[in-house]
Amino acid sequence: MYKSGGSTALKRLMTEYRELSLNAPEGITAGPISEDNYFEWEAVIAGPSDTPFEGGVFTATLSFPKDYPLNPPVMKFTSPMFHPNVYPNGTVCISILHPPGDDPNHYESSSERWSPVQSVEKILLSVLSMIAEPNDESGANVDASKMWREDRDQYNKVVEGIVAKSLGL
Amino acid sequence: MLIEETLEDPTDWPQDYVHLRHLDQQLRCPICKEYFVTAMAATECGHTFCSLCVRRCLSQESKCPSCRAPLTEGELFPNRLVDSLMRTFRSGRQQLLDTLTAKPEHMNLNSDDYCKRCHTKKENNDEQRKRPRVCTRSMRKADGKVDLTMPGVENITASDIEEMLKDEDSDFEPASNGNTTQKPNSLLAAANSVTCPNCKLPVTQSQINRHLDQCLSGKSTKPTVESMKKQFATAKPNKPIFMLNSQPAKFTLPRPTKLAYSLLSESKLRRTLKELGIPAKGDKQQMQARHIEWVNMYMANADSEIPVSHKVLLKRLAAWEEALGRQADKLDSTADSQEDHATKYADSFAELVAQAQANRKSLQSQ
Repeated sequence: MYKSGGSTALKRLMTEYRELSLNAPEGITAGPISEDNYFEWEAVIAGPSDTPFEGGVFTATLSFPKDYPLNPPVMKFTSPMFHPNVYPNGTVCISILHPPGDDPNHYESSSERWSPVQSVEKILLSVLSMIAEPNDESGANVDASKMWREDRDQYNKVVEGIVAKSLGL
Repeated sequence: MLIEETLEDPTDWPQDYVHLRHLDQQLRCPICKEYFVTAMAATECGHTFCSLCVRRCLSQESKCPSCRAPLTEGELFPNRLVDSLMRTFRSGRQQLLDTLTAKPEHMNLNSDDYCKRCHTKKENNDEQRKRPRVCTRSMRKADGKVDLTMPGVENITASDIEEMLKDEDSDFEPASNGNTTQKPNSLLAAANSVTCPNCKLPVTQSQINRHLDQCLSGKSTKPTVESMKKQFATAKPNKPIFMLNSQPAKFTLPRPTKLAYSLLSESKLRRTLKELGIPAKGDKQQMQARHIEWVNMYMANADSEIPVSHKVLLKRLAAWEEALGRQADKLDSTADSQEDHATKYADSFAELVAQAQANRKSLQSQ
């Protein structure tokens, strides 16, 4: 009946994994890399249709803090990514992944940020919509941001290259 | 994994029973996704969470985790109805799940088989029953619901259907269910009790005829206290999963209050922790985190209908700290921890000693 700090996180991650594996949203798969460690997940995201990312399959890791769900996980793409809201090292920068009270970019309203009632599923859905509609105000990858804003054709071309790479072509 | 096996979640319910899934989900805290433990509602927005969950969130940010409306701990009140709803649901959960998921063997056969089986039965009973026969099994959909839109069923009265269903139920009572049939169904018993028109006392429906005979003939004037007790013993509701503690919990430690940590020096904070009776090890950051958690645990325990003793609470604090991977004990190298270390790694030590001895021997022989 009682739950302590650490096992709250573990139990919640198990529940989320079970729910995700039983009914995952379209284009998303996610789960722990190893059953021994529920705090490191791998996610596979299919590039949303009607975007230059269509057809690509992107992998990412999710690292959960021990006090999850009080604080959000860190999401990092492990396959090559070129996107205004993804740092060149692969770390995803979207508001839902930012803990409450912490606003490194001073542009988000707190309503968009992480709250313990959010879930892995919501994060991945947000990432899907982020891929489809970049937010060039935050600009984690300055080159991608600039290209997306000023030279969309070039951006689409680079993204096509990324998609091909993600498929191992 | 052991924990995984005991994991209950809303997906346990068959997909046909969406409303049960939703009910299961709604009786869970949106933060920890488990059944509410001391449900607390926010006075302004009405969102409900476990006491400890919401207090942990509020010590990070003073906003409702669901709608982000401003919220402080003073604006929470216990939502006891949610607690009791959850308890009732949980006490019947397994029974309901078993009933819904256990399908009689013949349900797995295809529809032709149902009729074949009915057909044989029909031949046996034809002479006894004069009313038009309808295959009752084909009326039942796979999920066990009766489909009244089946052709040829229009002129059947409700009592007919009731009788048919009764037939079916008695036909397919699983043999393994001996336990449940012997066990008096408490809720049913309570619902089935009726008031005797003569002596105005509650009597179970099945007993009423016999009781009336006796009552009217004057044989049994009024049930004795003993017989009443017996009757209520069978009608007692199922034991809830979490029985109320009969022993009052012991509260030995003083009530903690939130502190302005930035204004406190490390030594002062350490003294406060000692006064509160909780471990005072580690650096300021660790002590601060421990104090916050302790205040939350203490307050959540005070909210609870079934508070635990502070000894139990201290154990939980230690478990919480361990789970976070913080080992405050590390800094404190007492003889105790050295002993622990020696016992914990006794095997490794023995192995190393053996290795060293073997090395020495091989060197000597060279």
